[in-house]
Parts: sequence; structure tokens; C-alpha cells
Amino acid sequence: MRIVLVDHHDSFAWNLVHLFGGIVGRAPDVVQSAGLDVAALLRRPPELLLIGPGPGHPADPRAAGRSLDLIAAARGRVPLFGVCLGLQLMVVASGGCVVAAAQPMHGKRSRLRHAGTRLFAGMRSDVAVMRYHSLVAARATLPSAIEVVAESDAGEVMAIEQEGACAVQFHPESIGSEGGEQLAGNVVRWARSGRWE
Amino acid sequence: MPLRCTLPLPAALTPPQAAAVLRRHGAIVVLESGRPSAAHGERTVVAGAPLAEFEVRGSTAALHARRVRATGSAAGEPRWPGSAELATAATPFHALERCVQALPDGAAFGWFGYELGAPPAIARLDPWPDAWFLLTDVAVEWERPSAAPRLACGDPRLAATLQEELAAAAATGTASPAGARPPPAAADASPFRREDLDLARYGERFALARAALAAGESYQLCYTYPLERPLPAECITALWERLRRDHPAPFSAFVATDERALVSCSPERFVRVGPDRRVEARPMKGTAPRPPDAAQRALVAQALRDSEKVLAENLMIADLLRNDLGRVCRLGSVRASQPALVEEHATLLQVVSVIEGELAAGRTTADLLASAFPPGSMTGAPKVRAVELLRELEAEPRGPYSGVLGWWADDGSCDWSVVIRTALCAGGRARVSVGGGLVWDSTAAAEWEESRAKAAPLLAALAAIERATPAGGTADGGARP
Repeated sequence: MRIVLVDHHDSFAWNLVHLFGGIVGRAPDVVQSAGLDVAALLRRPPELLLIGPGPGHPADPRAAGRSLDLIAAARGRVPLFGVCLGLQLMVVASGGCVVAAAQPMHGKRSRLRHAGTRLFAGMRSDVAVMRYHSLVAARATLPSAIEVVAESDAGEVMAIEQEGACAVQFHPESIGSEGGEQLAGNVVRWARSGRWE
Repeated sequence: MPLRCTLPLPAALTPPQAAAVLRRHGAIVVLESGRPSAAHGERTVVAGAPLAEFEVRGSTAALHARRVRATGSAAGEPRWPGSAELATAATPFHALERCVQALPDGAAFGWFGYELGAPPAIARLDPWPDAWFLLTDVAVEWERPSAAPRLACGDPRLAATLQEELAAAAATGTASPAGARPPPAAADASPFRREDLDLARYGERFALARAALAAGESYQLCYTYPLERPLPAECITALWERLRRDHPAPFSAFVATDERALVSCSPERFVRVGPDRRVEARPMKGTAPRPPDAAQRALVAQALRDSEKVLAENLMIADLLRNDLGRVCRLGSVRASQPALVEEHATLLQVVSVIEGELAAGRTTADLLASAFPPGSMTGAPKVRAVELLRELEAEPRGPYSGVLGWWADDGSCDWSVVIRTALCAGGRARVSVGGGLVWDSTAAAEWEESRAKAAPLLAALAAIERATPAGGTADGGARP
């Protein structure tokens, strides 16, 4: 399976490469979002597109690179999975807002409340996950097309699903997260299912 | 260790004696496991009599020949890469790799500074180059502190001279006059001075760093600052001998050239690569003072393990090192074998994580260094943005501080410490930089105290040397009563 990871000058991107590469047996290709040729990437579309984490606000072009355009162009054509900034970029690309969280969570774990949907199939309901973020999706601003499928114990958006896309605010690739392989496996199964739209 | 040391030397020979002898033959690098252990190694190596010195300034890597081997040497002359070949190397790491590969019976010993590879517009710390190494086939090695020393030397004529000189040094019993009998440290006197960065000014920088964390620009910023003391050039060796005696560290090191010296008491390994291409990184994040009493030590160690703040600081950098190794390691080979392990050092307890991997086919040690440099434990995360933010927060370049120091052999094996708890000695001054990883739960007062605890042993050694220097013998006001 050919996977492409879009990086935003992050320091955890290659942990996602090893997580997904370990499942499909081939390392995802890594491209930088800044200066990315979106049309060229989609001329030979991968079978799964990972929108990676990174510092900064998703509406700031220095942080977002070309990822907002990429998400708009790719959704519906390629299955998308976002992590951290990747989730926030999907929210902004769909018209939602990303705001400061009540408390930055940097290298801290939370227990998830999730609905057991496609992302979380087979995962315990109170699984502990590692978080690296100061910003969070403002729930009230989310369009109806986006469904919140997991939240933190404080009620913050921890995972979303929409047509052709899903994303998590936490870091399944971290050594501090439980169930990362299960979740990545669920993403791969979804992308391969032919029903990912 | 890279060199095969086979020539016998007198058992009484000490590392300072060997350093003094080899220093007569040019620059030297001493690498010493001051606290021998299975994890950190237990060898001491004094490398010197360089065949060549490698130096990087800005985007230029240069190799300067220093010694020609006598005809009849088994290995012949090294075929050093030309300046054009160095200029076309992808990175300075790859340039040095080409030099190392030209010397199958030797190795490179030296350091890569923090600003290595930064754009030319970024300021450098005067008078330090961006990287400096000696390449040599000469070293004195102690396999264990109790083992008899042995000499490696690819030139039979020089070997005979060195054996003679080293035997003579061992017989006289002293290393150097300045280091023979260091005066005791003054009890209770604080090594800090009024001109050192105070809590108020530290707090201003801390607030700026915290604003960047709140904005999601970074999750951790390793903010550092320098402290300076006078240190006449003739006292540098005494500083090294005092520190190796009073403050032995897992990666003690001494680098001396005619222009500059670096005295390191680093407790932290950056990365090691074995001849089998296995990679180990030991990023260190999380610090507490080491209580003298064992029961109290156990309590402090447990408090470190239980602290959400310490775990956040450490695991974040462990994740970062997994990333940096993952870029060049075989798919699936990277694992955090020992996350958040508490280590006991001379004056501090430190939390380290052990990350292991195996270089992927086609990847070399230079690729690993290019991927993982500078050490994530000295930047914060995400690294690229953290480095940018730290350049704005910190008043001066770091120079060799926060870089890496160690050895590198032609089979790709190498071992590097992180250049911390280190005095940079040049121009009659010693510069000791300290800092720590600032995370959301950090407080300015606690971080400032932690940074001072890291600086204290080096500043105390510098103060003792200043007291022992004859009045008027030092810059900056001379000796104290």
C-alpha cells in the first residue's frame, strides 16, 4: 500500500512513518507541506494520505504550508487521516474554528471517551493517549458534516470523522499512547475497504 | 574503541601524564568514563599526535595535514579527500566521514558545535569554529581504570619515541606543576557572582518562552544562558585535572589545542553506533539534586518517576529521538527500550530514556548525525521551530555547547556525548552554559535553580583555580584574598 505523509517541519513525523510502515510493510513517502506541488501529488494519488502534526496555528500559512489546499483538493479522491495539526487543518478546511485550549497539554496523557466508530473499533473505551497541543477544535463551530467521535475527559475534541477523512488530536505514534497500532490498523483497513468515502 | 592499542606502557602511567606527553606532539582529545558502567563504557583514551585536523567554519570544511608518517609504516599515507571532494559532501558530517574512511587504522576525535549547518547569516561564537576534529593513529588507552595502559601508533619510529617519553613521564610521577596538587575547594562559598544572570532577567526570558508554548509554537524549549569566569591559558590543564578528580562524569572529556580548550563533565550520551550498525541514543531530560543519603535518594528518584512534569519533559524528547533515529533506521527497528530511567550522577539525579534502532541498508553514520543533529534534548520540540525560537530568546550563539563530542572510526562506529556541563576555554576566559527544558508546568524559580545546580560544580572548580592563581596572574581583577 502506497502511503504519503505530509510533514509540517515536525519532530514526530517519522514515528508515524514507522507506525504505518510497520502495518503495511512499506515506509510511507514523506513530503514537506511547505512548497508542496498539490496537483503533482494528486496526479499519482497515494492509497492513503496522512496529514501530519506540526507547530503553530492551522490558519497561519507558515504552519499550514500547502495543506489546506491539499485537503480541499484531495478529500473524496484519496482517504485522508490527520494527526494533531492534521486534525486542526481538516477542521479549518471545512470552515470550523481552532482556538486556544483551556490548558496546553504537552507530553501529557488523557483517557479517551470514544464511540467505537471505525477509528476506534476494537479499542478499550478508556484508552490513554499522549497529547501535544495548545490549540483545540471549537466544537460549536464544527460543520454538521464533521462528527466528533472521541473526546477527552474534559470534553475537548479528540477525534473527528467526515466523508473521506478522519483525524485525531492526540498522537497514536507516541510511546505514551495505548492502542496506537490498533488505531493505525483501523485507518489502513478503512482506506483499503473501498468504502472510505 | 576505534584504535588497536597493542604496545605496552608502564602501569603507573596516568591519563594526565599521557595527555601532557601527547600535547608536546600537537592537539589532544581525552575521552574518559569517569563513572565506569556497562551503559556508559569504562575506557579512557588519550588521542593525539594528529595526522590532520578537520575544521568547519560556516559552509566550508577544511582538512589541514599535520604529520607525515615515516616511510616503512605499515599503512602508508592516508589518501585524504581533496578540498573539492570536501566541498561537494552533502553535509559537514559527510565531509568528515570521507576523511575518516581515508584512515582505516585511525579515527577522528573532536566535536560538532551547535550552530553547525546553520545559515551563514546566523552568528557564531568567537573564536570557535563550527566543528573541530583531529584525525590520528596515535592513542593511549586504558580498557578499564585498573588496566595497564597501551599505545596505538601506526608509525614505528614515532611509537618508539612515544613509548620512551611516556615511560619517562610515568617514572617522574607528576603530570604538570599546575595539576599536581590542586588546592581544596572553599567550603560553603557560593560559586555564583553578582554579574551572573539573575532570577529577574531569567524570568523575562522564561515568560517569552512560555508565551510560545501557549501559542502552540512549541511543546518544550531548552532555554540556555552562559556564565563566564577568568581562566588564564596556563590554568586550563589544572581545571581538567581538578574536575576529573572531583567531578568524574560518564563522558568526561578534555580537548586542547594551541588556541582553545574544552573541558567537559557530560553525563549524557547523544548517540552511539556499533560496528554492527546498531544505534543507541540516551536523551536526558529531568533533573534533581542528588541527596547524600541513600534512603533520601530513593525517595527523590521515585518523585522524579512520579512527576507528570518530568515525564512530559522526558517522553517528549524520547518521542523526538525516535523520530530522529527513525529517519535513517530500518523500518520497525526503533524502540524505546528503557523509557524514563533514573540515573545517579555525581551531584544530580537525571532521567534518561534509551532509544535503540538499526541503520537501514544504504544509510551511514553521517546520515544518522545529519538526521539527529543538534541533539533534541538541547533544543526542545518540534526541533526546527524550537531552534528558531531559541535563537530569538538567547542573546548569544552557543558554540560547541549543546553540540556533540566523541570519536568516529572508518567502520562507521562512533560514540558521542552531548556537550553540556562543559567549560569552553579561550582568550583567558572560561564559559559555562547551562539551561533546561521549559515545559508548560515549569516555573521560573525552579528552572533557574536547576540550571544553577548544573553550573555549580564547574564554577566551584573555576573559583578554586582563581584563588590558587598568584595575584595579578588572572584577568578581571586578579586573585581574591
